[in-house]
Amino acid sequence: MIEFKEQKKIIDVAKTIEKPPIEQRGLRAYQELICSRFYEVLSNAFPIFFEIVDKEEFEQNIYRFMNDGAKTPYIWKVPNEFRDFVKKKKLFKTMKYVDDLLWFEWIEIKLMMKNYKDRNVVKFDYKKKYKKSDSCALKKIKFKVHEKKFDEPGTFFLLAYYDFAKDQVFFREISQILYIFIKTINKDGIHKGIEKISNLTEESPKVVIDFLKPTLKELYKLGVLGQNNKRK
Amino acid sequence: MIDIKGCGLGLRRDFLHEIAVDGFLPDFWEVTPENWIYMPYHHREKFEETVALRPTLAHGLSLSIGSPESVNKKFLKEIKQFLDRYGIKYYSEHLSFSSFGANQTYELLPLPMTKKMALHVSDKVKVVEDILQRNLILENATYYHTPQSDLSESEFINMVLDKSGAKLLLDVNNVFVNSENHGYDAISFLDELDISKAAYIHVAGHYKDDELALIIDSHGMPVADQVWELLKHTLSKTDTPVMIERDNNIPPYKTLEKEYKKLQKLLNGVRHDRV
Repeated sequence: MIEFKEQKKIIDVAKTIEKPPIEQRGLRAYQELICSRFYEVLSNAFPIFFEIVDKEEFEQNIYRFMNDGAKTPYIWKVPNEFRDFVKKKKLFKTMKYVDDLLWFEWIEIKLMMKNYKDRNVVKFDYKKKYKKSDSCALKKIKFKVHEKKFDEPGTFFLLAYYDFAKDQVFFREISQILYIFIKTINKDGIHKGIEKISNLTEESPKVVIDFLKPTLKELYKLGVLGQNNKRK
Repeated sequence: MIDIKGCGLGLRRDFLHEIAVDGFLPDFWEVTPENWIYMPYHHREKFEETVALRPTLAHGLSLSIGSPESVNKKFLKEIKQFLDRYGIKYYSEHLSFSSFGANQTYELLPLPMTKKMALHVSDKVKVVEDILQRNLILENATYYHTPQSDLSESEFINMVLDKSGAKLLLDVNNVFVNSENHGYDAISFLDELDISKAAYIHVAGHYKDDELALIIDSHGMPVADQVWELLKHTLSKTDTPVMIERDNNIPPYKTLEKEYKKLQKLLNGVRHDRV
């Protein structure tokens, strides 16, 4: 249909970094409106990244991303698609920490925007079944992006969680032991988690339980451990 | 016609927590589903309380009724769930396209105004209505570029409404913006339009881009005097409800209340004169 070709012309102009001549002011308006929308959404979603990125490189990669195509009908999810695109295409090569940083900034939005079910907190009990809650995320990172330390690579473990009392997302660096434990209980339950840590540390399950109890109680209270909180 | 009356306001997150149950409330709300299907958790309770206070309409952004692809059924099912959850009977969208080849632009882009396009849109409207189980209401959109067309804007809109059975969301600011950008008479345009199909009316603000020599429909300013005048003319021809849309530079709720009262006064004045 010739009409679709006409529509494609507008899209093609909008996705090109060169500005159309001023005589084509309508097309130019669309190009500016579309690019500035992507620019605004991404710079707002990634404020730390935006502060340090080379702005020219950022703009060029926005156009590359637009050409690849944003798929979600929800504009607030665009930063996550951009994050995936950056990772897939290995962009911003001079920023070795870019994947960690974009994850760090995106996960805050993701945890803020979830449709959680109302929570009913009761006393923590080892006998009950717990899982990593939907209101938290775990990530092994190479840079301490949460402390804006971009120069010293290593292996770090980060816990992000939505605090229901404060309506904010918090981050906490955790030990590898706790990271493995939460990952394991999510998959195989709390007793397998204790068994795994017991094997790793060569400590008895009782010692592991006593060691982890205060932390687990706190994590449960914070909503990091729980049942599925996602709203149906 | 719809069974909502009076004046409305677009409900935005920016002032959600300024709304008091016993304070100023418009006759109806309009919400953008894409901004509320997922919302910050701490807004949910207040949002539910607020929309329960007044009849609410939904005005979507990402449907892209004019794009070549078939409708995104997964997305429409989420819209339906949202409408059902909050008991929203009316859903409007834009007579435009915003995605192409499933790639989103998040901008309302102009359609070629041809008979074929009118038929293409009409076919898609029926699919949307089947999924949503609601009549679709389509807004006359702004356009800064005119794709190859063989119908006038009013002919195109009338044909879409006629072939699809959709109702019209008449955006008076868009009529003004388009008339200025494309050099036609706004009153004559309104006279050509099949206003009997209007379900409700939007007014909003705009700004002039001097470099491009275009008026941009920004929804980021108070409603301009010329748009109030054009609204007065429109209201002399129809009894539909009217509302203010504000999406950018959103002022405090108190300020919007003042603009709302201006709208209410104008509406009451025109309707009083008609009696």
